[in-house]
Amino acid sequence: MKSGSSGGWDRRLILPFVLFVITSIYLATALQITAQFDEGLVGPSFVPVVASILMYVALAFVVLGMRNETDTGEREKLNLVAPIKVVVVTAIYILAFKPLGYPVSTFLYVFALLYIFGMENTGLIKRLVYTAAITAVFYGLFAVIFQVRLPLFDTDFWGMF
Amino acid sequence: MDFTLHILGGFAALADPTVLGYMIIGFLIGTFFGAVPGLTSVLAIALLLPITYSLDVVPALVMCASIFMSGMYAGSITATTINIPGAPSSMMTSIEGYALMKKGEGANALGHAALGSMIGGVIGALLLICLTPVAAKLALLIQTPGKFSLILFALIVIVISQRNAIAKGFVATLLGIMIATIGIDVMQPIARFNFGTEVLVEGIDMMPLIIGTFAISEILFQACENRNALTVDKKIIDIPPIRRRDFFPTLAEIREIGIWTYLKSAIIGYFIGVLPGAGGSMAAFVSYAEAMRKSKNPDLYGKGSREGIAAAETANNSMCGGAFVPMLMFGIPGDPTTAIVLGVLIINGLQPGPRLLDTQIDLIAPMFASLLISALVLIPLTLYLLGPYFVKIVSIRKAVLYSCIAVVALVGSYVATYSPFQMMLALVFGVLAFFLRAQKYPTVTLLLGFILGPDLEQYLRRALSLNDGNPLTFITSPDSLFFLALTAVFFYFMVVRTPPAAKKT
Repeated sequence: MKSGSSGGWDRRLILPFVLFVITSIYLATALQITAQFDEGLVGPSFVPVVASILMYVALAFVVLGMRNETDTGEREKLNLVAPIKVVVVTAIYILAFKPLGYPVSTFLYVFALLYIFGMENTGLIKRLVYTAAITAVFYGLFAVIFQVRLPLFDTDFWGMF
Repeated sequence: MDFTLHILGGFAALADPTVLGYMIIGFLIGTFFGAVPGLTSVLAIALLLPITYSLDVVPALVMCASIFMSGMYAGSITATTINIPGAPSSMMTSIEGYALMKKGEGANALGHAALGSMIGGVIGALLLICLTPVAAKLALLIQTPGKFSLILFALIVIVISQRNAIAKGFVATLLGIMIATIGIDVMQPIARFNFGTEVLVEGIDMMPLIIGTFAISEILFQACENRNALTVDKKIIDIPPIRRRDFFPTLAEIREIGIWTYLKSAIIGYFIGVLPGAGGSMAAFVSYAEAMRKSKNPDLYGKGSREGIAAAETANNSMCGGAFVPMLMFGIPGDPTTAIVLGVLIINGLQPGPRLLDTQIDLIAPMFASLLISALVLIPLTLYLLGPYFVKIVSIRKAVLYSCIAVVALVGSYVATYSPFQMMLALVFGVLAFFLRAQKYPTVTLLLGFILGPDLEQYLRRALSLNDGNPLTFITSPDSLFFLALTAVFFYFMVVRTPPAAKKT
């Protein structure tokens, strides 16, 4: 198996390893499930246990299959900086969605996304106009057309401070 | 007779201006998402899913059907004009269409693609309407062990159709099944895998999974790809203007392609659509290969064959009709788009199965009508009205496009329960799907595993408890035996007989 990074550790093994850990936690939990009534062998834990065992087998095939992937040139190295930025701003957006309300949180979120997606060189005024337009259009779509109750500024939340 | 009346009622429902409006909006959304490289009709319907909470079921399903049909057709636009297939199912069209484009016959190629899509879409919708009652009668014959074997067959076919990634497809499917086991058990009133939290007791909703898998992961992918300002480079779209009068294929060209080519491609596409997991790409490829095999001019293939365009486009649009059959009758989606349409049905309280035709045909019939009208009227109309501007329309600022998709996806997740928890789940599944896609795991199988997992478990346990735990019931029951044998046949032809080069993990 060839190394996918400068060290001895193949980066492609990270995902199978994470899935292995998740499966192990899942299997351990499955084995602790207590049925309310006896169904014989095929109780509430049967399918989870079988799925876990099959997952181990499938992961073993995936890892063994990596040996045959000789053409390392085809493998693209993903630049994860921008996706990490997207995940962070999205997580902040979700946390701020109720306390700040839709208009403010979405405005800030879209402004950040436009920057991450390469509009940093576009003039500030133009970016602000795009941001305001996107925020307003989707407010119109959800709150006005589809009558969804979107959160506005949460005064109770901010009153605590 | 009742069924026919209900179908006619479905067409009448489209006369309602609101329903008609949703069908046209859906068609335009599908055309846009199908034509823009990187966007797909699956993503369009995934983003629409939360909006269906606020819509009546008829407009929601009508909209889904028109998005499906237009998304399948629209991929041919950029495939022909700039050699970038808007959807994977237009790969064959790009080979032939772009070759014609280079000869200055791009408009004619677009016309043939539209004609093929129209014929395929109409035949697929007609076969769906005619064969659904037959499928419903057959579905009634299947008993509990047979239902288990049918779902097992579907899951195995879905996995083995991932030709270059069977093991990875298996991992993704199992992951979907594992996620589906979170929450209340399918047979007993106990919570599983909630890890002591209350929020997981009710299980994972389909919506954050769909939005995460198809929308958030796409946004993350686009974020790490090159930072081009536009979805389609300005240099590429600098092509000679397309004139409307050139769209119309001549009678001589149609005669040369032959009615039989259209008909055969439509039938191939329809039945490939019925197969779980096969989808438009396989329909287009098989039909294209068959047309080439039987062609009087095989030398033209690869150099601008109108017959090749016709075969591929007829098949992938006919597939739309076929994909609805297993979804409506058995709850088994034929492809990712119908998997999400299944979500729309479930959200609106419709239970797929043979009884659907008895109890809720009035809600389903407009969807059938929408498929047919979208193919027959909206495909040629859209080409004629928007054709000359298509390439300009699909070239938009990436930053604006993906910011819009992010807002719709996240606010859409919130709509289901008015809880930011759903938004966070969508983000978590999006990150998971991003890493799966980055390593070429098919995320569609994750969704299908999630959808089919609970039924698989329920029918397995029910069949065994009805037969005192005797597993031989799956062999002694004729319907179950049939599906197990069918699984073995598919496994043999798709895995065992496949040349070793195609069996890469």
